[in-house]
Amino acid sequence: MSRGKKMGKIVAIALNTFRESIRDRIFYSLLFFAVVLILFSMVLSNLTIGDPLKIVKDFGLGSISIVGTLIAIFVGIGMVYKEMEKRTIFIILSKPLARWQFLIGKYCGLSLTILVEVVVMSILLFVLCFLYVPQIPWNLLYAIIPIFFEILLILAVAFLFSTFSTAFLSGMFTLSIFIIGHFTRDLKSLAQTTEDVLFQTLSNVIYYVLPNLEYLNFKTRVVHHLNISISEVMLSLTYAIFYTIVVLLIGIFIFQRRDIN
Amino acid sequence: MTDSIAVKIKDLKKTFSNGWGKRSTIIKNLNLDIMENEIFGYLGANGAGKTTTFKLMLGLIIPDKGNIFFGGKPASDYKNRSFLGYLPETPYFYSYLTAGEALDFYASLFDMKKSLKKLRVEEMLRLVGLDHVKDLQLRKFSRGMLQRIGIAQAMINDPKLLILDEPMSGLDPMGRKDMRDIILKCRDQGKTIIFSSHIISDVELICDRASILSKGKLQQVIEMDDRQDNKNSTWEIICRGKVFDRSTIKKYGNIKHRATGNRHILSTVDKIAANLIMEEIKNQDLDLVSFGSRRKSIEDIYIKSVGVEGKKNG
Amino acid sequence: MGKKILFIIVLVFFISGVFFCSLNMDKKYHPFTIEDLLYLPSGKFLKGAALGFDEMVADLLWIKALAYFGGHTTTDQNYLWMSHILDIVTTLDPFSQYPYEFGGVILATEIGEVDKSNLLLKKGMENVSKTHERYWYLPFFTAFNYMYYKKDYKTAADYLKMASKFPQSPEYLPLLVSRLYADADSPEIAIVFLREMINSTQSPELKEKLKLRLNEVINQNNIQFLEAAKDQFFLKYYRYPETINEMFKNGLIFYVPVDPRGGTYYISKKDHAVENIIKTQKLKVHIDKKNKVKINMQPLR
Repeated sequence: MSRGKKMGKIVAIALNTFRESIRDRIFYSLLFFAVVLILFSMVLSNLTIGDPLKIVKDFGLGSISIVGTLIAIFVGIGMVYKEMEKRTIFIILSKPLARWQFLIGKYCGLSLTILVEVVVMSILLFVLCFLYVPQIPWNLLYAIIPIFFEILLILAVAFLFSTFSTAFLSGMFTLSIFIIGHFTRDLKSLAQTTEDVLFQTLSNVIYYVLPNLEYLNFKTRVVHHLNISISEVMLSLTYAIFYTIVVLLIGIFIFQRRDIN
Repeated sequence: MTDSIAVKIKDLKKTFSNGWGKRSTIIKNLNLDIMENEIFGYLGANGAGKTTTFKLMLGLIIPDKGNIFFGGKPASDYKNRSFLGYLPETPYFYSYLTAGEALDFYASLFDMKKSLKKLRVEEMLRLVGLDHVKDLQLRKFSRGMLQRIGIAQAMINDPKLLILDEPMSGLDPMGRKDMRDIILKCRDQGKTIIFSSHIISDVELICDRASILSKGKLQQVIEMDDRQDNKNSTWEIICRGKVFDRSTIKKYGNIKHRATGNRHILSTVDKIAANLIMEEIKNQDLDLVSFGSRRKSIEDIYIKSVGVEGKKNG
Repeated sequence: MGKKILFIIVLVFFISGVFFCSLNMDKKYHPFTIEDLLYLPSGKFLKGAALGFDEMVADLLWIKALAYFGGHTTTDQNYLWMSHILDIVTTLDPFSQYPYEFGGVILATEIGEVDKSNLLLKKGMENVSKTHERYWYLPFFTAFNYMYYKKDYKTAADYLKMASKFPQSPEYLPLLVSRLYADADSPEIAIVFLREMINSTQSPELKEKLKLRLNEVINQNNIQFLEAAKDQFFLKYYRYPETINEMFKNGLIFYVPVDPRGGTYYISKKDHAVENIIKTQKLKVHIDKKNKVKINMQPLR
């Protein structure tokens, strides 16, 4: 089977997944929630003393991150759940395609959905910032792009859990990974201040095995116009991409071997 | 009818663990050959393992032991699925797609050129009589319409082998006739069709052969041709009269006599005994209502074989 | 079999890639750590718990803190909460300048916790980017603390010198530095500081409170000025003046200072001290019935 035809099947599944998830009610509610959050920040910015634009930027970037992650978890896992529940997966897998093509196709489709969310929210945020200061805040992209890759990583984790676990558990596990991923760096530095060797080893293991999501967090520096080196950003993106690929590979491995019932 | 084997199932075994460490065997040592260009009925009670067999054929489940071949090629390789079509039991589809979009999507999963795809989608919609609702969203479809889309997607790639799981379910009598016609037409086109059902009359009407699956094992394979099979045919004689005196024919042990009021139904597999009964009716001056040989119905075979198995295990 | 081996190789490649990136990130780009404020460790651990949304949480807490302050709370309880909150806010979002500035001012002038104020301002000086346009306020207000409360004029002058190096700082700062090095115990310097503080803040409540304080200082300044004139009078005429006006008439003072709080100055009959009808908060209220209170509704500026 030629490369082009293999890609064609993945693309077909990706587009189909994209179309399905764009119409998902959860997606719309979360997007709406994000918009509300950003508009709320405008209200808050009136209450602060200091830099009102900062509040809009903080909340804007925060919403893109929160909502994107929630979409990855809930729409992502919901999609797998619906496939199994409604047995639409049976027809697709009975066709001449490999299981990994199905999984990757679904992943790419949802990534596209999340990209849409990030782009829409970013445009909204840029417009709002423009209202405060007549300048397009291009430097926010230094934070937004890593956020997007962080969400893609979480999405891969959600997919991994879905390959062997129920929808509810997958959601809980993925959310836990998200929480731990932001906490792991502090945990490691905390462990280093104690004398407890066991605690230190444990925190080191967690730090290196679980994703360190703080690598992709450039929000603070971007809002305060601090210097960010391109090489640091590139390195963090590489980390995210590699980690995502590892997770997807493990997911494919598990998915290849399981019985679909 | 050619003699080559479309589907070969060899020594198939599948067990499931129910999560608490206990394993139950769904398919025990299944051996079955489906010949090319035949319509094969796959009978069995719910939970007998029909759907499991199909899933094993399609690579959705992995067998513990055994092999399945499609025309000599292993079924485990997904490339060999390009010549088959599958209709699952009560199929669901992506609700927001239209009929045309859904079929186009499934067609994309084959190596089909765009122009051919378009042609096939239109052809299939016409075949199942749904071309007028091409742009209607699937969530608005009735059960029967969804079933028809199901068969449409199963045939979208012009498959040589069709695997249909309860294709008649959800269809009204008209729909069932249409489905039967489609299946027959497929056979005329040279395709091989396997379908599972628990409605025996459907199987009787169109199948060339049928098998009964009970508790994971193949009980019987039945030929449905018109040749009288003496083993399975029964002489049935119905007469009317107050009493039927069986004393003369008592020595023939294999005569069944059922009486409801004035009506007597006598049946036997023995041709000689049947003639004797006719004589007795004349002698006892009873009214003859009907006389004929009834081919043993599949229903009887089914109940008998399932019953036997049931007695063995029960 | 070949496919499986390929799969494993690819997997191992990417896993090593992950570790490579991770180790490099840690080596080259140190994770940001902040010095604890000694008395409030909680802020630091909170940082992880905000799950990467530290800035949003900091913003919310900051607005809450402002609302509390604006509601002119008077109990000590709430002011204790304020310093706690300021520490948390500045730990969650350490680069944000304004909380340090605002916190530094109110901790010293309203809450009376000068040491905490200094710690907060110093934390700010370490974390806030020196290119920030308001950075200079941090050493500036630190200088005020050392001058006004601690009477450590040398340190105050050092901090003021630091502040004067920033281009956004007012031009008169270097002059003030030399004044501090030379003639430290002068309330005029405090007035300059306070005026700058009032100018700098956008918080109307803080402006009000600072104005009250400024008026107090101006009052003290006036009293000191009048006392000095009174002593000069004594040296010249071998007696104390009866009224402020007398000193004016005799040319020892060229103007009668106005109390911005609305009071009037007079010489007390008892001990010839310069006093005011409206006493400073620290002294007991002493109302002399002979002189009527002149309500001076002059605005401050």
